[in-house]
Order: sequence, then C-alpha cells, then structure tokens
Amino acid sequence: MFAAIWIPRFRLQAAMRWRELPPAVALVDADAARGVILEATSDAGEQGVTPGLTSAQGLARCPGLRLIARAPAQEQACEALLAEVAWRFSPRVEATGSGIATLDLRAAPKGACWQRLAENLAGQLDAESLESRVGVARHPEHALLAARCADRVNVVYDGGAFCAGLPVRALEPDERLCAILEDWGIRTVGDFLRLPKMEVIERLGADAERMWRRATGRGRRALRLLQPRESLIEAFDFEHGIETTEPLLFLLRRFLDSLCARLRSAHRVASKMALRLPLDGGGAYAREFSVPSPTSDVEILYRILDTHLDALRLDNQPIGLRLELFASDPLGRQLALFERGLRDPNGFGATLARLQAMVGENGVGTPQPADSHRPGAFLLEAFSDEPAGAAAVPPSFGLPLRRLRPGHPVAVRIVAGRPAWLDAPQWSGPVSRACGPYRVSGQWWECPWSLEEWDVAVEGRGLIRLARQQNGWSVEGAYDLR
Amino acid sequence: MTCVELHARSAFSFLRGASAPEELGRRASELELPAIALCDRDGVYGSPRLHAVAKEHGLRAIVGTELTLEDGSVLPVLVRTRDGYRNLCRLLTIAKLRGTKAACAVRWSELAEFGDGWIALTGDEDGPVWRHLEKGDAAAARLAVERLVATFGRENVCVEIQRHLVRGEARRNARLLELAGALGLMPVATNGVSHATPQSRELLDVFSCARHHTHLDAAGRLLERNAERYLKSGRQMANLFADCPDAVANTLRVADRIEFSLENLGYEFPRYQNLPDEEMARVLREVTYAGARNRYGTLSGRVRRQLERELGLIEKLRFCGYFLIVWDLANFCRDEGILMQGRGSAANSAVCYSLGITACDPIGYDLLFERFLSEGRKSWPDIDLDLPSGDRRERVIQEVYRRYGEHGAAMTANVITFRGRSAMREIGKALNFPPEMLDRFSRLYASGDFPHTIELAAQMQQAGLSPDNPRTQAAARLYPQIYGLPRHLGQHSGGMIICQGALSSVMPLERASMPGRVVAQWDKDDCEDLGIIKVDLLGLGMMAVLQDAIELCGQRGRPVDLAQLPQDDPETFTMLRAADTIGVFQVESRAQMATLPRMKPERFYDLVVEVAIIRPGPIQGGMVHPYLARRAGEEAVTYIDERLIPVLKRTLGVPLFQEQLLKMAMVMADFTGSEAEELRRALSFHRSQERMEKVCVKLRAGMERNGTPADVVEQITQSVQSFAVYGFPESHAISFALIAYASAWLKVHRGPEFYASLLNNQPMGFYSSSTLVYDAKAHGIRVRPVSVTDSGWPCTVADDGSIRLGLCVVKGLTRAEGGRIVSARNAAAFASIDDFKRRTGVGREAARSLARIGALNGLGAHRRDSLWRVEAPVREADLFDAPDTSAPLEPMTFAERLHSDYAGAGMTTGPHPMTLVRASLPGVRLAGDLREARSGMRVEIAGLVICRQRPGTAKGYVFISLEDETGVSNAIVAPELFERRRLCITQEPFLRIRGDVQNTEGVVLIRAREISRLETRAAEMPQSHDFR
Repeated sequence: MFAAIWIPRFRLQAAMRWRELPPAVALVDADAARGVILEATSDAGEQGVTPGLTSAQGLARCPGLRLIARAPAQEQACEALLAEVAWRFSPRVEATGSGIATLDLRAAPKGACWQRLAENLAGQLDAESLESRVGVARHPEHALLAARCADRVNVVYDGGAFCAGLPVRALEPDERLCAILEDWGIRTVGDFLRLPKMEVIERLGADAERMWRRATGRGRRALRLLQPRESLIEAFDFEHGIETTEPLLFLLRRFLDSLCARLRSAHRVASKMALRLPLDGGGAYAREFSVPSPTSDVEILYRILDTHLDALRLDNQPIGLRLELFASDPLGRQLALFERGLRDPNGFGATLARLQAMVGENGVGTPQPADSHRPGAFLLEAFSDEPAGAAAVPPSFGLPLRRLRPGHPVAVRIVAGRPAWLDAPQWSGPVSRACGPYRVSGQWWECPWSLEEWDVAVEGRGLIRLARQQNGWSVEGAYDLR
Repeated sequence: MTCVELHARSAFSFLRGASAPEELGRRASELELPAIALCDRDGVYGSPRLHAVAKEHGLRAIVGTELTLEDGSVLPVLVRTRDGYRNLCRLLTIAKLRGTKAACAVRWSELAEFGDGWIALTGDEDGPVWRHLEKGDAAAARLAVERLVATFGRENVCVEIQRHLVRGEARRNARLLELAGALGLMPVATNGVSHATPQSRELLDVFSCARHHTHLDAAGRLLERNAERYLKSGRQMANLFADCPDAVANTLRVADRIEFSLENLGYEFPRYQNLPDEEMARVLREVTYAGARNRYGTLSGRVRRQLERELGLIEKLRFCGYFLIVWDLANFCRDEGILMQGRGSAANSAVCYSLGITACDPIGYDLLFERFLSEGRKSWPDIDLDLPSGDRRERVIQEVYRRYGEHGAAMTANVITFRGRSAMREIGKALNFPPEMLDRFSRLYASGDFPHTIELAAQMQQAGLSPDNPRTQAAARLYPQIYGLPRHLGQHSGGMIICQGALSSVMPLERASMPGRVVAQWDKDDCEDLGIIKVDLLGLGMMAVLQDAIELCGQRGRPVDLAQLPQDDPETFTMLRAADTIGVFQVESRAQMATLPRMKPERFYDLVVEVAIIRPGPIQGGMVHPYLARRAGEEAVTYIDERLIPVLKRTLGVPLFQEQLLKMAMVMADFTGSEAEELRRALSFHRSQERMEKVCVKLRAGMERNGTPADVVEQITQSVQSFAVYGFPESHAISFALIAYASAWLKVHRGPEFYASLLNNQPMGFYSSSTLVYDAKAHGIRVRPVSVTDSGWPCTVADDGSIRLGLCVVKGLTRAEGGRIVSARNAAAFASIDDFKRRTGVGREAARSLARIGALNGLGAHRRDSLWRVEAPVREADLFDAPDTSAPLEPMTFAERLHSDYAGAGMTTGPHPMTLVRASLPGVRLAGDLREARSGMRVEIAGLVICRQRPGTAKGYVFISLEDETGVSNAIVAPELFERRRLCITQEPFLRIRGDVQNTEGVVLIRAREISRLETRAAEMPQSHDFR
C-alpha cells in the first residue's frame, strides 16, 4: 500500500503558520498587477472569495478578509517538516509536489491498520499546526487522489470505483488539456474513461495517455525517494520589516521549542545552528553558530542566539527569519580538519558587538571611499575575509592631502570675500594666497549638507584646506608639499 | 555689467534641464539679460515658447541646439542667420529620420555641409574639447578645436569657458584660454545653464536619476556637485570671471552677430498648384461659385453678398491657397469614396460650405462668420476635417505625406507633460519610495471625469508618506516644480502641418513611433503662435459607421444619400424623444438619454441644442435646467437686455453658443467681429490674466458707452466670462448634430445596415457589442451567429434583413485566417470540418474558438461535435478518410453556450445572461417594466453592469446602468453608499440594486438604498463603460 499526504492550500497554511490571524484569510500573489488571490481559507470561501479574484474583488465580497502575501521561507520549512513527519512512518518517501508527500508502505507489517496509520499521520501534522489529508491505496496515484478528496483520511481498496466519481481535474491535466476537456463537457474521471481511448489519445497526445494510466492505476511509477536531511528548519516571513529584536526572540523561542521537541523525538541533538535574516531591500544577514557541546536544550541554544541578537545592528530591517538546526548524535563531534583559526566565532562576534556599542554602529569595519561628491566621504564595510574590490576614486587634482578627521575648528577673518587671517591654536597666521571657493552640496533629500572649500597658504603653516559649513570654519587638512 | 547667456538647456532637453523655457525667459528678463540662447539637446523643441515669453518681456531669444555627434560628443551651436536656421532644421531632420525615435547622431562630415550660418561653441563636459582635457590630452583637445575651425571658420567658433566653483575647472579653463589665444579664437563665458534658479537643482538631480535608471541614494557622483548651473546675472558672471572680463564681454559680441529670430521663420503655406496669389484668388472664386450653385441652386442676393464678403477677406488675408488646398484634400476624399465633413468654426463659412468642406449651411442657420475668420485675427483659420477612423483616415494622412514628401509634411507634436501620477512616480522613484507606496498614491487619484479634490499633502499622507520624513518634504517641494514640465513628445491625434517648400527647413521633423508617420518638434499651440497652419484630420468612429452603413445600403439596393436625408423626419424624432438612442452619435450617453424625453426634440435645431447642452460646461454653468424649464413652458423666457432678443431668441434667452457671446459683445458694446473673437479667445484660454482683464474693461466700457445700466453691464460681463469657458461653437454643434441625425435616421430606417456597421467598427461609442446586439434585437432585427459557412470577415446584412455576425467578432481569429476561410469557401463550400481544416489552414486554437461559439455548427452536429472533430489530426482527403462517426460528447447546455459565446465573441445572439437567473429573482423588476413605476415606489432591479459613471458635475453621485433581457435600467448612488459599497460597485459584473423610483416624464432613475452582488455563472462579461 501507499499513503499520500496532501496539505490543502499549502501555500496559505505555510504563510499562516506562527501567525495570529482572523478566520477569513486569503493568500495574494503580490507580483501580479492587481493582486490575484491564490488561495483562501474556508471561512473566506464561504463568503465568495475564490482563487483568481483580484484582491479588490475579494475585499468586495468579504470586507473582513485579511490578505497576506506568500511566505517562501515558511513554505520551504513546511516542506521539510512534511518530509520529516513522513520519515517517521516510512524510510521511502517522495516529495511528490508542493505540500504533497507519498509514502511507500509496502514494507509495513502485515495486518497493519491503514485507517489508524493514516489518522496517526494526520495527527502528527496537526500537532505541527498543519491541516492535512491522508489517502491510502494500492497505487501511489490513487493514494493521492484519495487524499485529495478525503475529509481527513481516506483508505481506498477499490481504486477503479473510487476514481470514477472524481473530478477530472484530479488527474492534474495541464491547462491546455483542462480547457479542452472543459469544452468537451468532461467533468469526472468516469466521463473521461468512458471516451474512446485511442481517439482521445489521437487528439490530445501523450498527456491524455498519462491521465489514463493515472485514472486506472496501471503502469505503477517508481517513487523518486528523498534523502533524509540532517537538519531541521523553521522559518517565518514578516509582513513588514521589524524594528526591534523582541519579535525575533519571541519567534526563535517558539522555533526552538518545536525544533528541540522534534530533535528529542528522533533522539538527536543540535551541533550547529544557522540563523538567516532576509533584509528589507534585498540581501540577508546570515550567521552560523557552533554549539560547543551539542544539545537539544532549548535554554542553551536560545542563550547563544539571544546574546548575538542583543548586540546585532542591521542597516535594513529584517523581513524574515530562518533557523536551521543541524542534528547529530548525542555523543559529540570532532572538529573539522580545516576549521578556521578563529575558534570562537561567538566570542569574536560578541567583541565586535561590544565595540559597536561603544563607538556606534557605523564605527567598526573596513573604510572604503564612498560614491559621493562630499569631500573625504567614506563608508565602513563589515569585516570580511574576502579582499575588498577596488572602489572608484574621484579624480584628484594636485597635491596629496593629509585629512584631519574631524576637521579642526578655526576662526577666519575675511577680507574682500576671501580668507585673510586664520586664528586657531595650531593654524594661526596671515593667509598669503587663497584659491576658491569650491562649493559642494548634496543629500538635499534627507540630511542636506553644503560646504565651501578654500585652499590657503598660511605663512609658516604650509598649504591647508579650509571648509566653511553651517557651524563655521574648519581646517580640513594640510597638503603634503614634500 | 551685462552679458548674454549663450548656453542654456530647458526641460525640453528631456531629463537634462529642469526649467521650462518660459521660466528661463522670465528669469532672464528679471536679471535684465538682453538675450538668452536656448540650446536644447538635438532639437529646438522649446524655442517657440522662449520666443513667445521673450517677446512679451523685451528679451532676445537666440535659437541654438546641442548636437549629439557620431563620436558621442555634444556640440552646442547657435543659429546666426535664417539660412543657418534652415540648415539646422534640415540637418536635425536628416539625423532624426535616419536614427531611431530616441537616438540621433550627426556626422562630422554633415557639419561642414550644413554648418553655414551657425556659431559653434566648444561645449562643456560633454563637448568635443573638454573630454580630451579631462584626460589630460591637450594635443587632442587642440585638434578638436582645429577641426571645428576648419568646419565653421575661425570667426564662427568660440571657446566656451564655464565656472561652477568646482575643483579642477581653473586648470581646464586655463588650458581653454591658452587654446583660444593660440588659435586666435574668441573665448566666451557661459554658465551651461540647466535650471533657472538654484532651487531647481534638486529637480535636475531627480531627472539625472531617471536618465540613469537609478535613485538618489545610489546615484552618487551622477548627481550635480552643487547648484551653480542656474541662470546668473551679468554682475554675477562678471564677478565669476573677474580674471577674464573679455570672455563675459564677448557674449554680447556674439549675440550682436546673431541676426536670426523665430520672428522671421520664413514659413509659407503651400500654394495651390504653385499659382501666384491672383491666380489662386481667381481659382478659389470660380470653384466657390460653382460649388455654391450646387449647394444653393440659384444664388440669392444674401448668398452672393456673404460669399463676396468672405472671398474678399480671404483674398485680403492671402488665405486663398489654404482654402484651395483643403478643398483639394476634400476632393481627394470624395474621389476615393471617403466620407469627410468639416467640423468646428469652419462651418461658419459659406465658402467652406460651397467648397464641400463643411456640410451645414451657415447662411441658412445665420451663423457668424467672424467666429471663423476676421480681419484683425493674427492666426490662421482652423479647418478640422472629420474622417472615418481607421484605414480610411490613414489613407488621407498618407496622401498628404505623398503629396508633400517626408520632409514636407508632419503631424504636430503632442507634448506629454508630468502631471499627477507621472509626476509623483518620477519623484518617488528618485527618492527611493517603495513602489507600493507610489501605487497607493496613484490610486488616490480620481478616476475618469471625477475631479481630483484631495490636497497633495493629504494625498501623500494617505499614501503612507509621513509628513515628518524629510523625503516626503522633498517630494512636496519637487512636485510643483516638475508639474507641467515636458516628459516626452507624442504626436497629435490628427493635426498635420504642411509648408511651401520643405517643412524640414522651417522646423526639425522626427520619426514618430507609429510606422510611416513623421512628427514635428512643436505642438499645435507653438505652431499657431508662429503662424504655422495646421489641418486637423480627425478620425471619428461614427463617420466610419455612416460610410459602412451607406455602402451596405447601396449593396442591398436601398441607397442612401446623406445630403438628401429628409429633414425633421417624424419617426427619427419619435425615437429620439423616447431616448431610444443606443448607438446614435453624441446622444447615446446616459445623461443625454435622460435629457431627451425632457427636451422632446421635434426638429433638427433641437438636436443641435441637445448636442451642445449636455456637456460639463453648461451643466456647471447652470444653463441646462433654465433652458429645459423654458422649453417646457415652466419658466418665462426673459432676456438680460431687450437688444439681445435677436441673439438669444432661438435658445430661449439662455446663452449656449460661442457665436452668441460674440454677438452679445457686438450688440451691447459695439465690438467689431474681430474684437469679439479676440474677447472669446482671451477669455477661453486663460493664458494671461492681464489680457483677460483688458478685454473685460473694454467690454464694460463699450456697454457703458451705449447707456447700459450698471447691473446689466455686470450681469453680461459675468455671463460672458463664465460662458466663454464652456460655450460650444454653434457651427460645431450643427456639424455634430448632422452626424447625430444621420445616425439616428439610419437606426430608424436602415437598422440592419446601421447595427452591422456599428458592430464592425467596435470598439467605439458608449456601449459594448453585446448591448448593441440586444438593442438590435429589441428593434426586431434578427441577429444570426457567426458561421464559417455564411459569415464574411465583417458583419453583413442578409437578404431577409437579418444581421450575420462576421468572423471579425471571434476572439483569437486573425484577419488573415478570416480571409482564408472566406476565400476557401468562395472556391467551394466546405464539406466537413476536416475539409475546412485542410483548405483554410486555420490554427487549432482558432478552430477551437470557432467551434466553441458554434461557428462550425453548419459542419458538425453541435458545438461539442465540432470541438471533437477540430482536435482530430488533419488527414489527406483521398487517402484515409475516416468514417464519419458522431462524437461521443453531449451537446452544450444553454448556460454553457451562453458562457462560450461571451468568452469567444463578447456577445451572444441568444437570450440574455439574466434569463439564467431570472427564476431565482422573484420580485426583481425588469428594466422594461420600470417605465410604469410610480415615483417613490421601492423596487429592486438587477442586471449586467454596462456603465458606471461619476461625473465631475454630479457632486460625487455615481450612475450605474444595468442591462437585463428587456433593456437598461439606471440607478443613482449617493456618495456615502458608494463609499460603503465601493468595491462591490466597481468590481462586480452583475449587481442587485434596491431603491426608490424617481420617474420624471418617463425618465426613470432608481435612487439606490442597498447594493449587492448578483451571483451568476457568467464569468466573461463584456467590459462595462466605467468612469471614462
């Protein structure tokens, strides 16, 4: 026998996981021009919200409808969870499709109660907040069809009789075939099987033949078996970027509760954790944590993450969260042969975090020239083992400048619109020659800056660069005359 | 100290300049610059506008351009002489027509050929010289200057130096001055102006982002270093170039050498057959009188006097060639069998009527000629020709190109400007606002004709932009700056300009996106301001319908001559009074249909008023109700002044037409015809407040001089002011009413031909094909479905008067496939579906579409039988002919057929979709029964939504038209209910509306109280006419 697990409205269920939502919810394809509804809860469906409507039409029919976007990371985590549950019942598992798994149960003990097994499967998924349908039949195709029309579980012994009443779409014809069959008025598998087979295949091709085989259960296909994974995943996609670490920590705690329970049920422990935070505007923050002493203790694992997040500052807001626990046997593990010299990344990260707390978020890193007209502008890039690429440097004119960061305030006496005398502890003296002004301004759309620069020769002090900004004059640097 | 800015770019440099030419001109005047040169990139797009402002402010506008050269460098040139201007226009035209619409590169070799009459500047950072200096290659820079000298001559090349207070420019300028000295060239100081004031630098940065497809956060050094590229005064320039005053003074010397301005453009309208003026006058007189005898028969004294008066003025103003050329074009249409009719003020001219350009008799209708042409008028008269839209209009346009050549004729440009959505989208993209926020902002704009009332700040806040965010504040600053600036150039819908000689010597021409079209760089207003004449060749769907219907009538032996239609046909007016006007030109809208039963038209002139009165202007001006009340005898007919009785008598004392405005000024204030026309133009365009005030003062003075009491003076002035904005030319209303009457007459007397033609010219008008088919059926016309054994490509009329839908209505069937079907069938009737597939080569998808809507029923037992056969592989006829077994499929049910019809053809010839659900709607009234409903009754209606409208004049009320199997019912929805049920109303194809009946003289409106979705199976319904 074969069992098929089908998670109805899989994308919607994945997106709803870990969320508090009203009963009427619809999943929207945000990339479509008018926000097309992909899936909807039964509550929404009862009020006329069906896939294919635009979000505006959905709201017209169900004013309390909550629209949510797809959550790819959660879908991926749910796929992994589905496989994980399936492996508890059979080592031979196929990921048949999105939210569908097929289990080969032929090695099950004789006299097994299929009904109870199916109930058990559905129950374990219930425990993980996934509503499922389970079908059991002699053929994998029939098992899936049985799952698709099950209320919860459906054990089919006579595949032929069972299939005849199913809608023809259950055979999953492609869009072209679907349209033709609809034109022909073929609604059920029974209708389809009543057509003269050869004439249908002559008209519709190999796809029709495949449907035939599927409907009759002939020509059993081999399952494409999944290799068991050595990691457990949970993920969450936020609807909006989050601004504080509280929601992250809250979810991480819940993730760890679930993941550690799953580890314990498999008698495994976590030796490594991978944290990934997709960020608003693209990119992601990713970090791996070695667990010095592999464990399934929620508190220990949580503390590692908490310490790290406490000091973590990101340029962009996280819009998602993914936590992966790498399972190992409880006996411990050996260090990798080429493990880096940095033995304690957690410790290094903590040190950097402390430095950032002292000098500011942007105060730690590797300096790079910025693409800006602002004189001396630079960016600090995060530490990386990779050599930095050569940044485009604006053309320089004349002598090299030894820049003072920050500039030294100076009093400047102006005569005929030009600097004539400087007065500051290190820079006092008459100006013998002045070139300028050079005006630069920018970033008017957010935090405007504007300055006027002069190159002046001060007797006994050499050639220096002055700048006038809103807060007065400053010496920005001295030219190297050597 | 003064100087001239010789290198300025306006927003017509498209994303390279941030100020309108007008703004640059005004600023130059404020700064007391004697002249300014506008050098827009690869064109003289903004020059007419600068010229107009310069004229107003006593400034000289120098014409120039920045030419993109083949090596990518950009050369600024100034036009010195008229020949130089001609050369520039020709060169730009050649380059533009050679390149794509977006790219235009001039070859160095062409500069020598066309560069006579120019002064070349060495340019700025994009110029051919600076680029070498930037790389430190002084020798190459010198070679580039020498090349310019060799091309233009030493006296016509100036070395351009600019100072924007940035590092490195002192060194570069020193090199340039060295070059100038070494080669004996004149250095000139320019500021390479990109914006009028320093504040506009922000907008220039936004444009830079748009040009480089990036946003401000990522643009880095693509943005400006500072805001120094603004227009500077002579004193500022003198201070800036204190070390080389000659460079500033030289700008005046260069300006002095420039002789050319757009004032002497050298445009001349083509001469008819190249005849001299006197000869053209003689020919015009001859053809006019010949035409007049055709039109009027014997010429009365009044007709002769009017013709003489008009011809005298036309000769005096030297417009004979213009009239003859339009007449020639009208003759071409007649010869080619293309229906044509002049519209607009040309219909006020007896000459135009006699020449067959217009169809309404201005003498019979006592129309005012001065509205069309008057002695004091500076601009050319405007003759607009309505042509059947589509191929026939294109034939006329191509004929003009053929006659005058690619360089001799062009469509006028249509300058697309940044407004509302597009303005904020461009700003938002630069400011890196999330796209969904910009979408929200755009969605807050009102749809269609509903006025936009929300303030910018509130709109930004509602879109989710926090007012405290500095980017929001930047957006609010930028929005008014960008608003109205040119975004890109399109082509005018029908305005063509032609010229004696080459038009490309008068203005640069470029390729339009549409194949075979050439477009000018100036729009119609620019052309008009510079005295360039335009002929509007406008496409009108109803003209195509009339022509098609006439042809069909001829084919069926029921010929119709539009010129000979019976005047005031009683049956036609009975139909109009009953508002049975679906498909009738101009009077088919919901608002027109609601007015017709109250208007009760009985003769042609009533239709003229009906066409003119239901428009936003008269409705907002409060003219509709007084007129209808006076017409119904519910209100006394009064006049502001007794002297106005002859003027306003035929509109019952209510001024409706522009001609009446002119006459009021003439009668009350002794204005001449041209003064009155000047008054109308000043009032209607709102271009200059000063000009408006001036004419109003003149009007008041004239009336007071005539002893008009003060209150009447005030009343007339007020009336004239508001009325000038909305007034409709009577001649135009008559021209449109002629078409409306013809279409109404055809609907009554040649229904099958009329409906078939309407269906063949979709989309047009107010209603979908589906509604037109139901209307035809309601008039007893049988509409037969598409059939490959009978249908042609267009819809046709059978001998029995039924309409046979054409293959053109089948979605997914190409015209070529349709043509193959018809020719294969003409060769031999189809024997079977297999035979059909074999001989037509129609694709399987198209064959499926045909089978689905029953078009193959003549060859198969039923639709599904055909669908089964369509899928079978095509076999050779004589080899393996399969036995003709029937398909193992059940026939489609009625609901399935209905669904397939709408999905495949957008209409059905069978029962209305509402019949499917009628049984489940007990108590819901049929549209056909509503006429009997009493006002105040609570009723429920249901149907397919065919129209949703929220007119700007209706204070937020929404009108919904529902179609059922008996006709159309109308509902009005209050703003509060609309807001509450907005999504249901705007999204659902079928609605149920419960409300109170309002029955006014047979015009039934349901005041909606509740609105809900009507559940049906029909998914693919025709598009309703929404908020357009």
